[in-house]
Amino acid sequence: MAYRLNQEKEDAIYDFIVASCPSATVIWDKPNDTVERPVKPYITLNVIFGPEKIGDRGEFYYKELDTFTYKFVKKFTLSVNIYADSYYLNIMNDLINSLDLSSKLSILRLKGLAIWGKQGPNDIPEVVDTIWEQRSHLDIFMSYGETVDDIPGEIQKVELNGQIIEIP
Amino acid sequence: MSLLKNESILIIRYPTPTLVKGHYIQGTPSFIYALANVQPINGDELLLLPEGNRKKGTIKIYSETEIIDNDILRRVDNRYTYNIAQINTCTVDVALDSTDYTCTINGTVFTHTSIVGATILTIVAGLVSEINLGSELVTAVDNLDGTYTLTSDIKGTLFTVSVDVNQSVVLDVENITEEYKIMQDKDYSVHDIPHYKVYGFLMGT
Repeated sequence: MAYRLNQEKEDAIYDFIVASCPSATVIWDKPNDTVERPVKPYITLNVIFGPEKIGDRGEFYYKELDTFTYKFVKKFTLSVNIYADSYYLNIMNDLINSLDLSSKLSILRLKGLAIWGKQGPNDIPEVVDTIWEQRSHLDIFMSYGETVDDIPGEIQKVELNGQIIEIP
Repeated sequence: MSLLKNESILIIRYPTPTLVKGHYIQGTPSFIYALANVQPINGDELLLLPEGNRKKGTIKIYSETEIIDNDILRRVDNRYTYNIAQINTCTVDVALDSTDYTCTINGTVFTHTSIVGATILTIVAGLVSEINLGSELVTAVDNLDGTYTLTSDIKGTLFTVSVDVNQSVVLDVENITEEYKIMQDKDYSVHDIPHYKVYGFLMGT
């Protein structure tokens, strides 16, 4: 199974969406899946941008001999699409409310995820065969911190050639 | 090739995937062995396929065992095979008197000693007689033109042949095994061809 983030973070995102919209089935919209879509209402999740390091060069700290720890802030965009024959805007409203509710956000925070903002919702119905399929779309901007160890080495000692001149 | 024969196929059927934390997890497939008749598709059916799929190896399969969308089919039996017999043509190039003419087949030497006044035709006749009296599974035929043809009695069985300096030999038909593969050795995924219905058929055995 391919994870855009890692399993821990994707499971946390899944749990957050499920807690926010319990009436809908939640699936990851992976491009290589060929299974049928679930019965409506359902929500698809997709990381459409990132994760990408933001800010200037990350902070780094001495960890041990020759080893430094780099701390990055990574940002990504989670695309959420809601498919429902009715009440799809209600489901979307529940999700938007959850972006400010501590009880829901704690699911993300426990795994190091934070929400920076959102874009939407956008109502984007589309004709499928001969009927309209109701869809609502929301982009959620999220971030997390990541530490990476690097072993660039250190200058342990320097050899100098020269003379020591007596200081008067 | 025989399109009327049934062949064994293996149907690999995956259950409906289960959702785990939003990810579809493929279950353990079941394996079903069945008999099926495999046919190539014709030009009209080829046009019914989606564009981009018309160059893929597509076949039609008829079976009493249910086959559903998303099944994967595999060939089970070996391909049907048939063999072609090896044929060599030997030519007596020069007729010499009181000379041993030999034809060695699979190491067995067949000798005909020419008489005084022998001709190419008599030499060929003598050699053909000697070869056919032997126990090698090769039949010699006098072509009545100074040549004789050696044909393997068992299709698919190779034989070696060499002749003396007064003759020459050529290989006409190589001993080969022709194989017809109805289903190739790969997985076939099942898709319905739209607007195409099979209302019934008789299955031969």
